[in-house]
Amino acid sequence: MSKKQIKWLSVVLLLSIMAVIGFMIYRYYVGNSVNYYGIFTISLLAASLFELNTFGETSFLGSYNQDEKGDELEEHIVKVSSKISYFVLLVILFIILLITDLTGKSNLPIMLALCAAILTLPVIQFIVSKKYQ
Amino acid sequence: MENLIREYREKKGLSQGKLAELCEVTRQTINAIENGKYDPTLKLAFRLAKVLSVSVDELFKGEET
Repeated sequence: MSKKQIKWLSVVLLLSIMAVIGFMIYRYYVGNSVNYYGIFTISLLAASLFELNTFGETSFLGSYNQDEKGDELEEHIVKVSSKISYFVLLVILFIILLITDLTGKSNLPIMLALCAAILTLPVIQFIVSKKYQ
Repeated sequence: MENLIREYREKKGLSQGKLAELCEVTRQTINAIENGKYDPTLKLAFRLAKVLSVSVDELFKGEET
């Protein structure tokens, strides 16, 4: 993908995000309800925007060139970012749990998600380590 | 890990882009390796050595203990 194409696609993605946010604000004022699908759409569009500006391609929009082998540095960046994202996600889950707890609401699904997230890494490590024994 | 890729590349008159092309990686990968920000895999280390016509030993300096 050329730099010009990346720039144009980034503008399209940014405009789409702004349109979804606008629609969500409109829905909130008209129907007084939060559009959860809107939040999901924004996260997908924002993820695509970041990915596009990092690797020049985006997996969410399905424009990865399947014939092209992944570059070594690109694979390294993906690996390092995955590790960091896991711990950032753990902290975010913990903060959400703490906030809901402080507001006096119990949030079992978030608690379960946090426990699952804490368990996931050691369990997967255990399984993968078996492969090398 | 320290390496002498830049020296051998310049001796061969290759640009980062050309070396990247010959090793089937991106120019960014070569740049990161030359600047010591990324250690290549064994596969790429051998490919670099082959392209630069040197041994892996000559290309990479291990950390002194």
